[in-house]
Amino acid sequence: MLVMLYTYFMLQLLSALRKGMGIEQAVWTVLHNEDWWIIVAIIVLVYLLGYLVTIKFMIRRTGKKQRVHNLRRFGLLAGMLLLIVQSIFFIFIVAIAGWDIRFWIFVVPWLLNIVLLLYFLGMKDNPEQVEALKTGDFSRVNDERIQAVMSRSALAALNIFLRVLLFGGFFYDVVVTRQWPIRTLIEFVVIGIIWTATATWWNRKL
Amino acid sequence: MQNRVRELRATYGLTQEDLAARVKVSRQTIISIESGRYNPSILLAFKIAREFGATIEQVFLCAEEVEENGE
Repeated sequence: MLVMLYTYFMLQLLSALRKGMGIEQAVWTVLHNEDWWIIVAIIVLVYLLGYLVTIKFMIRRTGKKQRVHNLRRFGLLAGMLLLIVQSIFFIFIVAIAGWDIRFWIFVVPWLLNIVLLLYFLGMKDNPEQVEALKTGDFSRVNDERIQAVMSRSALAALNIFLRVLLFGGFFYDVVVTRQWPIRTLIEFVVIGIIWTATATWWNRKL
Repeated sequence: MQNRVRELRATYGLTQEDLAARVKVSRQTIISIESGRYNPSILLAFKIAREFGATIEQVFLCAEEVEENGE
């Protein structure tokens, strides 16, 4: 789906560039085209439909639900496709518009994709994950230690979020923009309400 | 909390993967328990002890008690 979206976006961009638009104007034109969102919706629907059909077919063929169990192979295939599309498009862009430092918006995703591909290349299949994906039984890969790890990391992330973003935003509004930090205060209140509600719920449950 | 999981596992000739599969956790969890980095829940402790035909107290030892007994 990402490849389809990317290809569509790039083709639209290429078309706009060929009409003599500058890179910024071309990106602006593509993103502000009403059809853009319709096309995206259609692509998403087609993808989901294809996925459903595949699952149905698999169920009918094997009698039980099958999933993509080789993440490495799947990631490599999708990454390679995306890299090919990105590279072809990038060559076209440079050939038509010439090199411009503002093309970093294409170069950065290209580099990120290479990093992702290297990650998938170096990735070793975890037999526990493969087994879980095959059988649908995730109890081993999602055991109590992993749940504890996720819970602690979620709390740590929330802690950092509260300290850095909320207090940072609060002081930024007060010190830099010299405004009442209304947005931050609303966020504090909303978090407080959610926290109290969930604490009450867990207090009754445990 | 200290434990005798590694010792008992060796006695019973089980690999970490074998034990992990039997008690339905990942191998990493068994590694963490053996190294003392992770204290299992009472349910998991019970499952592990049962695999060795022992009680929880025979497998998992309270660090304070170990010190008191001079072990």
